Amino acid sequence: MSRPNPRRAWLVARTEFRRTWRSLRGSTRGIILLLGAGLMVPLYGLAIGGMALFGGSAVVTADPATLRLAATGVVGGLLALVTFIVLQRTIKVNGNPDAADGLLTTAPYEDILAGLLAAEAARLFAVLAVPLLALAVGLAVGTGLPVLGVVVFATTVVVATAGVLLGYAGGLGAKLVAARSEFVARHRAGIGAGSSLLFVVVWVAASGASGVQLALLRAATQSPLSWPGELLLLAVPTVAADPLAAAVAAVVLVGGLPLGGLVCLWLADRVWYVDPVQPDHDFSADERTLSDRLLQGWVSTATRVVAQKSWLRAKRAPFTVQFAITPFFFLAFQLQTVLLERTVPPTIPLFAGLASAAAAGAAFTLNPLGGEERVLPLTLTANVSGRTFVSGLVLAGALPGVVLTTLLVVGLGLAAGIGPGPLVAALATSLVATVGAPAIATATGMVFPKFERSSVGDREVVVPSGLAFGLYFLLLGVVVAPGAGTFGLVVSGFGLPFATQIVLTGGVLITLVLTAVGAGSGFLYAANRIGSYRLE
Amino acid sequence: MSPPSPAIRTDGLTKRYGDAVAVAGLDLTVDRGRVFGFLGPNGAGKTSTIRILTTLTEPTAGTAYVAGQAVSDRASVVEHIGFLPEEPPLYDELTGREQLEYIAGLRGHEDWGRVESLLDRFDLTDDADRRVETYSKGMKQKLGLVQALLHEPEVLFLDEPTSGLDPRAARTVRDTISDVAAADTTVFLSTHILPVVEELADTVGVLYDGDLVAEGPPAELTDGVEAGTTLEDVFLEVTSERPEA
Repeated sequence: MSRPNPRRAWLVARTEFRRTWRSLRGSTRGIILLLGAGLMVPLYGLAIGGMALFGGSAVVTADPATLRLAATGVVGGLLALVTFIVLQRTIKVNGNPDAADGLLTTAPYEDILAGLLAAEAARLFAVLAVPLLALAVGLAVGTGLPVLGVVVFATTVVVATAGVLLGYAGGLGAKLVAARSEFVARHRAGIGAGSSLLFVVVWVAASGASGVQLALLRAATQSPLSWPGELLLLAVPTVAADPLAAAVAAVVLVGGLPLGGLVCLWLADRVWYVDPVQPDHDFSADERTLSDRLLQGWVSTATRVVAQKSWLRAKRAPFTVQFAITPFFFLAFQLQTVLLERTVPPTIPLFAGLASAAAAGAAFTLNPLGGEERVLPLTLTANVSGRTFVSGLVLAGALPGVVLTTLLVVGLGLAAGIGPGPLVAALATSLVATVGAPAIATATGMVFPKFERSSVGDREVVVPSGLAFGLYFLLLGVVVAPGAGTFGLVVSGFGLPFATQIVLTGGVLITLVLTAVGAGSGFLYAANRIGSYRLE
Repeated sequence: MSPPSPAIRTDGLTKRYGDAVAVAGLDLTVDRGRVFGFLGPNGAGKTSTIRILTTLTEPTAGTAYVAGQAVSDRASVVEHIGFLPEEPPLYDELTGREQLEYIAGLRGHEDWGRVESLLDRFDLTDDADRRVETYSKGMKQKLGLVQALLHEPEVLFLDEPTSGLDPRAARTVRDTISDVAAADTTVFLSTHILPVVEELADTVGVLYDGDLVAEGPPAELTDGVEAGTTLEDVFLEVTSERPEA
């Protein structure tokens, strides 16, 4: 390990930054991101600066305990946010240098790492600089304490830089584990997708629960995590800050930067030159899998192998169907209710069941042709009829969907304590939707097919078009509306002119009819289109 | 005065991936200024050997020296080598010229005259200010070769350099290999295209199951067997299934 050469590191950082800029300018998504950031960053800056300015006078008179909470919140929140962003970017995007073979045989890896870290910090501060500066200036003017502004700016910059190093080291550490552990390598994408989903659900749920946030913050103020906040409080004359804690925090933060750099160097040396374990995918022609046993004799061989191919691809590369978990994000708001009110809302079984149905429909069928990627010419010339092919895709979504939907609806229904009538109605509506959704999705996927690849993390994948997604959700919403609506009316205790059983049964039946019509016509439309499809 | 060290020397070089042996105790010497044709069927261990010699991966056992430097000393080896992997390492977002300026900057070898002359030689001057993402496979391959040659390396590692090139571009690449070898650069050339090796290589090594099963000048390898035997025949002969021990 040697000290990075600043000239080379600067060259790498400049080139990385230039590539990011060009890549953003070169795509519609990038332009939208740039425009969004160009609008939101100054707005955030203005809002934060305004709050700091007008709340500044309160700082000098506020209760020290409240100020300590606020200081810990700012420092801890910034560190957690930056660390998380950099961690997941390191794992997914820039944990390894692009064109690594060329770069690593051109310049020492220490210089490349220093350049990549500098570029990552530059990207981050391109977004953070204005809000952090606004916070510092707002506080300095609002409190009349210029030194507070200087201390706030310096501390937040050092904390954010520490977050970059911490996140990058964490990301490299995760990559090292993935490269060395056969289990993690085999299930890497699944672990990543599961962790991302869990994080987003918990984050959204907790962000709406101020009680949970406050409890976490109070716990943090009782721990060394609050010490960096003491640095800020030192600049407020009306608060008796703990100078020892502040000094320790300053030493740890500033001293931690070179230490973090060394840890990143140590990890990069191992990750960039590692020979990753290559998990074997055992195959035996004689072995009968669970899906073989379930499907043989029930469906044609062609239908079975189309379904099995879909499951195998999803298992080996979950990022290809990662988009399908989107409906579950809507459960985050229900989870907020669970956290805030400590009760399981009676609507959650149906919401979960419909999320499962929507996911089952989206996973394999929302882009039937584009999803075949490079194999499409072979699929089209494989003498498989459109009906057989669509049946296989529908089966791939519906079969696991039925199991998941049943487990979610029954489990959450029992937890929510809803009566047997509404529970059966929720289950019936959800199951009808789960069985019908894949066929509806296939039709929308044929109306709006997509063949272009998009970046998902560090992979290039063909994901369904946004229009197909939108139309699918709209149609699914229409067919489940009667069953879901009547269920909602009953569990919310709405006064009904008929017996609840009649209302619930009526809702389910209408949903059943609508789904049968939608799914049946969707299936036929998709099968005919695929059967007569020609490559352009 | 001791004789100059060979450009490449390996002693008992071994690489294992779990239970699989990719390179099995390879002993190899390539003298300076020679073109060494490195042949072998897919999975023979050629890429593993090149990755060790270019410091991208560590050997499980044995030693290797490139330009007199141990491959364990990455920084020293990297100074003396140029490498064109099978997939040219280029950034799509940069123009051809920016890519070369970047690599030249990293090498500390900012000789713009050489950049221009190489661009001209490879017929890339007119496209040098276009983004790499718009280049054809052949143009990318040529740009990759130019960036591997920029700093006039002592040892040049080329992995399938003519793959995907049209006949004219392939001719340029072959001429360039001859020229750099004439200028005392050692070329370690891994390819499946046997006529290229026959034309360019001073020495050929055939790797099979991680072992070097044949080595020598192409003419020597085909001598002593029946008339009309080509390097391809020799290759097929030495890489056929070996009987169980």
